[in-house]
Amino acid sequence: MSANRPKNFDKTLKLLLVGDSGVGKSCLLLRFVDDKFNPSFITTIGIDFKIKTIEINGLKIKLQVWDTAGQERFRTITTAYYRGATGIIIVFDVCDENSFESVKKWFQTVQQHAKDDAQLFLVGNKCDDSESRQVSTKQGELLAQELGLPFLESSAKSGINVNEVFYKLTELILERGGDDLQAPGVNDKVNVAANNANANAGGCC
Amino acid sequence: MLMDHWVKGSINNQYASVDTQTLIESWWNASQESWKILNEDLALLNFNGLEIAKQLTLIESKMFCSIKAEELLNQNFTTKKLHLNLSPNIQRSVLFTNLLSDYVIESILQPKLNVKQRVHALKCWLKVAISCLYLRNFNSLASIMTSLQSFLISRIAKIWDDLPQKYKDLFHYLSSIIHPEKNYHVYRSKLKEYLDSNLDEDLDIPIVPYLSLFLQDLTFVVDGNPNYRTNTKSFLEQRLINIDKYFKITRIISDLQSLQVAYKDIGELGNVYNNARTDLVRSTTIKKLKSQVGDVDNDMTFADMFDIHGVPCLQELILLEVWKVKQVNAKEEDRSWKLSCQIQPRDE
Repeated sequence: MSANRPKNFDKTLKLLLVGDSGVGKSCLLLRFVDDKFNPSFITTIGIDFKIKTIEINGLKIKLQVWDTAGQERFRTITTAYYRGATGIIIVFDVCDENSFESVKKWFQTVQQHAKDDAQLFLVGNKCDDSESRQVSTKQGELLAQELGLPFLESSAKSGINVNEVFYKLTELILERGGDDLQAPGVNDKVNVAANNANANAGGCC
Repeated sequence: MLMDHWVKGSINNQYASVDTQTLIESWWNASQESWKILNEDLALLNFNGLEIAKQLTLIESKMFCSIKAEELLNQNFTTKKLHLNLSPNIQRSVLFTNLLSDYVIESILQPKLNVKQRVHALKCWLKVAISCLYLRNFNSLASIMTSLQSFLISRIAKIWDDLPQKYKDLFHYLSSIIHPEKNYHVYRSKLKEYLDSNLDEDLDIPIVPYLSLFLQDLTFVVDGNPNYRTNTKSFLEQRLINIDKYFKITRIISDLQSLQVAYKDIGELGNVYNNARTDLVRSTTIKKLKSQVGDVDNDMTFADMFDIHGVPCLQELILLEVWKVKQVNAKEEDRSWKLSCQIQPRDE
């Protein structure tokens, strides 16, 4: 890898959104990246993750956000996405109790498939809809406490806390990560191949 | 094992071949039940890899070709709508994908194997996977390869250390085909070739695409686009139907439909599946391919694209075997993770 190549960012982080289908993962992602809800979005060949560069503490961080939307039921297939993710957001829908109950299952899957130092984050989405709410903020907080995860409620629809989730997560990663975060994502192909080649790496890259 | 509970009519202690469709239905029904499995030995890898791939392809193709357009509409295939049973054929395909993946993992991690046997199982799956690629069965290819790349297996150093370089290269090659990088760029461009040949050149070559990606694309288009948009050109601020969204949905579904070409089963029960259309499509396509390539003497190469020798008893075994792993996994929560940790404890 060419270390001297000039970059317009200081670090690259790979983030991943998981959670039951229909909790609004792709909306959250689209809202964050495009900063407007429901742009005419085209699934273009060649773009599998959305990229947004943000600035934190004077550092330019390039975020690659991956989404498993629509593939939730393919259990093994989606775990391929977990490789090399430095931050994982588990999303549930506050208007859907089932999706809240699934959080523990997702947490377990993440623990088994992601690298040990990946930073997790719990998000209760659709908090703007107080009429159909089934999961209270308190319940969300309690679960987050139990699992030891940071927690926020967001609304992709109104934009509440969308940026906060991604900024907060990035800050947490930077705090705990130090300087060794650069490698993954700079060139994912090399990263994955290397990961496979010495699979004894035990999930860290 | 399941006796006449499995397939009605094949009793009297005599084996009778059953067609794929009936097998799939029996397998689906048996999968909804809970059984206690005493014999946990897995038998599939005793067979030739290409042969397994051929039968996998016939099973998967049958499932894929049965998918109806309405199953793909309105997110009918999502977990939320499962109880409405609006997507029966997608559900069968999803279940098969998951069970095949679980089977691959179980066959490598199952207890009582030594490292050599685990490496052998890994090699066998690579052979099955490359045969699937040869047969254009991308769905089985994805199920196998994502399982092999799963952390449950990739974390076990011993297995990979003992894998010969030749197989490591094969593993990397096969992993690169259906890889999420750049929105599955490698796979999508391959798929596009087949789509173009089906749509533009009127060549209908049977393939089994990676179904999961169609579902993901549909989800993004449905979730990411509004149903209505406001008419900015008019002062009345009427709502207009966002027709672009529905064009996109239609496009994805019609792509899927244009890929629903059946393989020709030249096996024992071939006459059960091959209808006049299969034959017509096959002969037209082969004729066109010949005229494109010019004068060729071996039309076998082209016929090979269509013809698979179906072996009903092996298909039956495949369905029974993956079903068995489902039962074993249902009995013990997180079985594969535990197995993986037994072979190599977590902090090693």
